[in-house]
Amino acid sequence: MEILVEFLGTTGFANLTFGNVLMIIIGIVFINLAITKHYEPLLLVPIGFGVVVGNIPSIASMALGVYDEGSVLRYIYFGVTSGLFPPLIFLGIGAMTDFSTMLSNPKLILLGAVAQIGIFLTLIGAMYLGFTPEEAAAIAIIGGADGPTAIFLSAKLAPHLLGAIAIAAYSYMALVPVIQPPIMKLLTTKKERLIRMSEPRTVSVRERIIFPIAAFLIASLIAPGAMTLLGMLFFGNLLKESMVTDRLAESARNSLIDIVTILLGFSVGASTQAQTFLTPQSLLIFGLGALSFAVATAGGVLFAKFMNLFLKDKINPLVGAAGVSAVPDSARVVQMVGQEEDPHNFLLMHAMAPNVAGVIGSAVAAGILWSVMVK
Amino acid sequence: MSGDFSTMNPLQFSVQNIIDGQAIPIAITGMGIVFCVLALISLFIALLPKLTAILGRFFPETEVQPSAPKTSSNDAVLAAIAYVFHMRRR
Repeated sequence: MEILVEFLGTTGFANLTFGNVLMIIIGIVFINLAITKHYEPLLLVPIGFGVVVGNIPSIASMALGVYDEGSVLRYIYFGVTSGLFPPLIFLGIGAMTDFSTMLSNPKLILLGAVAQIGIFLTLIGAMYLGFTPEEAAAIAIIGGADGPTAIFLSAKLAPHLLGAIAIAAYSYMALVPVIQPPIMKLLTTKKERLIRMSEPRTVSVRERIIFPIAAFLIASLIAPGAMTLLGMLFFGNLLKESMVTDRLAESARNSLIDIVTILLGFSVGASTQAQTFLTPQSLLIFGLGALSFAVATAGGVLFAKFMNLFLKDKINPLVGAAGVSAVPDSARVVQMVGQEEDPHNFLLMHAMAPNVAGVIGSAVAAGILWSVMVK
Repeated sequence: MSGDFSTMNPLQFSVQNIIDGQAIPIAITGMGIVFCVLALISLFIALLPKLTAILGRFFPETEVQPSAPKTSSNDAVLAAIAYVFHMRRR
């Protein structure tokens, strides 16, 4: 009888807190959104189930949870805390990214650059709210709209905020179709939204091969902190564009990225336990993340309008919103909003240019913040 | 790492935090560097056609063969279409 009583005391039911229950419900909501609404299912299903797993109360004497030394979940989570998983995801992203639209219209790269203003303005806002500089930098990178970059920087600068930052980053990436359109319409006129852009030029194979090598050298020699992420991004792209390593490119953009996404999403979800996630700081992180996204969107759109003052071949300002590096969702939103005005205006390929430039920009921003904040 | 927020200091909103953390110089410098990097990449790309044209004079561009023959996933589709046409003719 004593053994039974003792056992009952170690069950999850006995140790479940209200916070755990709430987090389990949140995890189930994520799974539901992914399956029924198709909101970033490749991310929200692993994260959602990880949240459910991470909020089952563990037994003190057993290594079960993601923070318990020697547990399986901790070994998987090591890929997150060590910063291993995000560069591997970037390898896959590079192997599936087509930079030709960016190569054919290089001035659109500047829209991806300006969109990173969301990161740096949020840095100021986060410090005002009382976060330490390292925490503020990790929170600000949410505005880069790049999940792997946000996880990478958070793991380096503020690992205790990693769960909240990762959830915020991926949640807002899934909500891009909701957050961006009102801002885009507010900052543009109907006439501007109707601008049709000229066809991009054809890019040669040689240009596609030279670009990843040269871009990596330029970016990492100026900002060495970005070397890891950009190195893997451009390495993956070179595997794709060289056309002599198709097998490696295929593995990088399929099996490798899928395996890492499963492990990363699941372990990040499992790390968001109630006592670390349900705090006023998490709410502030979510608020700052939304602000970061909004400012980044506005920055890209407004800069496109500014560029049009000097250009004969005008840019549709909606394309500026794609500087937020949620690839390819931001570009799809640009296409969608543009086609609301003119169903025959195809902006998607033009929007991909600042979209992929934003990935480079957010990785450079992360490298700069890491090198400034690291002690 | 325990992931425990209970040991963190409570947040205090203050402009002094921005000054102490050097937020504005970091933001201006960081944004400037990001813009410079991407502007340089943009400039390089704008010059890339000229560069490849010069390279082409010394190293003419040859047709790059893919490392593995591309297996056509369309073979089965083509076979099915051919079969349908054949059946319709009959």
